[in-house]
Amino acid sequence: MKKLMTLIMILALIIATLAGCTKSTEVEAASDSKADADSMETVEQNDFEKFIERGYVVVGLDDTFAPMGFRTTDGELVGFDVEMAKAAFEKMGMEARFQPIEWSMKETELNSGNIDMIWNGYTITDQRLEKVNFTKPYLKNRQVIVTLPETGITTLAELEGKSVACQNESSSYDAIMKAEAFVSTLDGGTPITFETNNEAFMDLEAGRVEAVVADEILAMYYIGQKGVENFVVFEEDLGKEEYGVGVRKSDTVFLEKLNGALGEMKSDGTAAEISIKYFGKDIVEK
Amino acid sequence: MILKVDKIYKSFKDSNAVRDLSFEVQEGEILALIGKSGAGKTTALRCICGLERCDRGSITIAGEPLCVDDGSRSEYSSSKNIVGIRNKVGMVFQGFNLFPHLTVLENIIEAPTRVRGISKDIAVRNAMDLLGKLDLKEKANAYPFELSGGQKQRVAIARACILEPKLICFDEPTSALDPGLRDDIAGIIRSLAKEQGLTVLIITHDMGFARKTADEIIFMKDGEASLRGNTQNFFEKNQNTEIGKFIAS
Amino acid sequence: MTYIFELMPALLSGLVVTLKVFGWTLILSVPLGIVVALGRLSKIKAIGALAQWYIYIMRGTPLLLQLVFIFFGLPTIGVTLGRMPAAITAFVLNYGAYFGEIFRGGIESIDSGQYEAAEMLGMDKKQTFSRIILPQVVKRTLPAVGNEVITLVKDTALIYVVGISELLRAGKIAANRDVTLLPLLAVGVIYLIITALMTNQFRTLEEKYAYYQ
Repeated sequence: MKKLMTLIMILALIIATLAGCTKSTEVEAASDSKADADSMETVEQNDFEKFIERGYVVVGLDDTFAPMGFRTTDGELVGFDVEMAKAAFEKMGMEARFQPIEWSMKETELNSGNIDMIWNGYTITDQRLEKVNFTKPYLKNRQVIVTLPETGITTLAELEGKSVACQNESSSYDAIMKAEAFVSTLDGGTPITFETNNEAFMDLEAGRVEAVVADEILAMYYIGQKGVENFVVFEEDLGKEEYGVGVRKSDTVFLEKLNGALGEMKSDGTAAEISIKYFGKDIVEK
Repeated sequence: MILKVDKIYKSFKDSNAVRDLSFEVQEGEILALIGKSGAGKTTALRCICGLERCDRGSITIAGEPLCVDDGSRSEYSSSKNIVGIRNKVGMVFQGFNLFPHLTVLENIIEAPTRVRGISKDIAVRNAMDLLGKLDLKEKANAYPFELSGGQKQRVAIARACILEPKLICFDEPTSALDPGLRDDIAGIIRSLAKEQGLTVLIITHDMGFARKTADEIIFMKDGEASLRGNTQNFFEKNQNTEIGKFIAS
Repeated sequence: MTYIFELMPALLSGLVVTLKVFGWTLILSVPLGIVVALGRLSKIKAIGALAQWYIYIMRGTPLLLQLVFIFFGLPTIGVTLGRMPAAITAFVLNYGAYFGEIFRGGIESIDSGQYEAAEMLGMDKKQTFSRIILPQVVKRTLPAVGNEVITLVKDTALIYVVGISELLRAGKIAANRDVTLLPLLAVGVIYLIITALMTNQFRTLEEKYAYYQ
């Protein structure tokens, strides 16, 4: 009896670990076997046709992410990415349903089919390219460093021995870690991570960390709310990046169609309009 | 004959609690099993009540066999039969074991209404009758924790008696009482037997009490019945033997 | 403070979700706890062992991990649950284990004399358990159960990990949007109010059961 129980326990742990790093190949394998079954019939449906047939796509986002995707006091979902998504799918003639997710589970949610894309200030990185496919970039971004004026720190070098905060599982975190020479000088050799950028900034204001690294767009939103005079943004940055929409590797036709819609939005000015609404200027990546 | 115990054996782990015990009790008799602690009296009682199962031997209650020795072990009746047989036996525990979350009245009518299906009105009437006889009428709606030891015991008696058993067992009835109350309980037991016709089996180490209450005495030692006799003779005859010393102590 | 007023609709709708998870978990996990306790005390070895392992695993791993496992992990073996059903399943299984241990302790603390008295009075196992044992177990386990219930109120915040928006997340959304901690303060106050209500309820219940010792 004990042996059986131990076996079950080990199996359970294995499944739990696999769930944490679900490979997209699992989803591909599933659709392959279905394809085999269907190929007996006529031409099988591609990924995009499946969406059309279903009638809607599910956009995954973290709805605590101002200004890219968040809610008004009435609970209405707004934000730069939300409006971009709505416009894109209107062009494609499909319904877009928005599903809030926990940011650290985003790739898992995508690959398990709970959502069909990640559209939420999602920076394109090599690591992420291993797990998902990205559309062509639609927004430029920098990883900026923010400090409080009273510390007098304005360069990366001056952060030696100090603490730096950023959002957990974000490209800010990746950027910091990539800058090996820099990160090794930090107190503890690693940044302090938080659930949200908001919390990272709160720690900065509390004086527990000396700097915050965040997407320029998010940092500007926060600073804009609190008053630009209260913060210092470095001239240096920790990398230039681009935002894209993340989709499953197997959804190749969908990706093509989405790129098409985004391209149209860039050329006909729809994207620029939304950018000005949220950022005051057109920062769309052409 | 209400109770016949025939060569019963019961052991736990490595010790023999009861060995080759045999006796009979006639209707209306009051029998006391006496002996030192560890002599096996409580185990014997628990076997008779069905709370323990004998290893060997037979027990018959009011003509129905609870268990029969088949040559190698005690064969017990089917569960259905056992229920019927057990209905004829009532037990007043040493610790009383009243149900603390029920009132005195509820304690008494629980079994008649829930187990025997008797209507609540009739059960309550019978219960109040019994409480009257036991001088506890005004405590009907009290909870066990509000009662004294003697009162609790009387409730336990009422709870057992309302089911009209043929045999009623008492496990160390005086151990939880003040010495002054012994006479009261002796009186109650004698009246149960003589006026109600119940057969009574008592386990006790209290000699004076046994003397006052029982018709017959069995002295147990090391799990066996060492001696039996009519109460009067018993205490007079055995003054110089080991039993006598025990009695005197 | 008009700001707090503006926040209320969003916070209250988060509260509704919190209470939904709270309610369903209680309704399902308490009976499960009784079953688990009985299983743990079963004379059949296989059942007793199964119950023990269940309790060990559910109490030995974080609820957060169980949530992730049930929602994200089970689909890999073909069992796919929606977000809310997965959340409630995880909570019920988890709390069922804790209640199971609480009830087991309560049942074991009942003197064997109670069982023997019931037996002698002719009561069968079901009657004995429901009329004699369970009422006494309820009284004895009330403080511990109250504890778990209060913990449950706050544990509901964990459902964020499967993308469900409840009270705390609603607070976070507002905090991020308006760049202020005030919404989280309001959320804290709401949790305190609920906890106070629960604590009061249990005190009343304990007093109700104080009619006997």
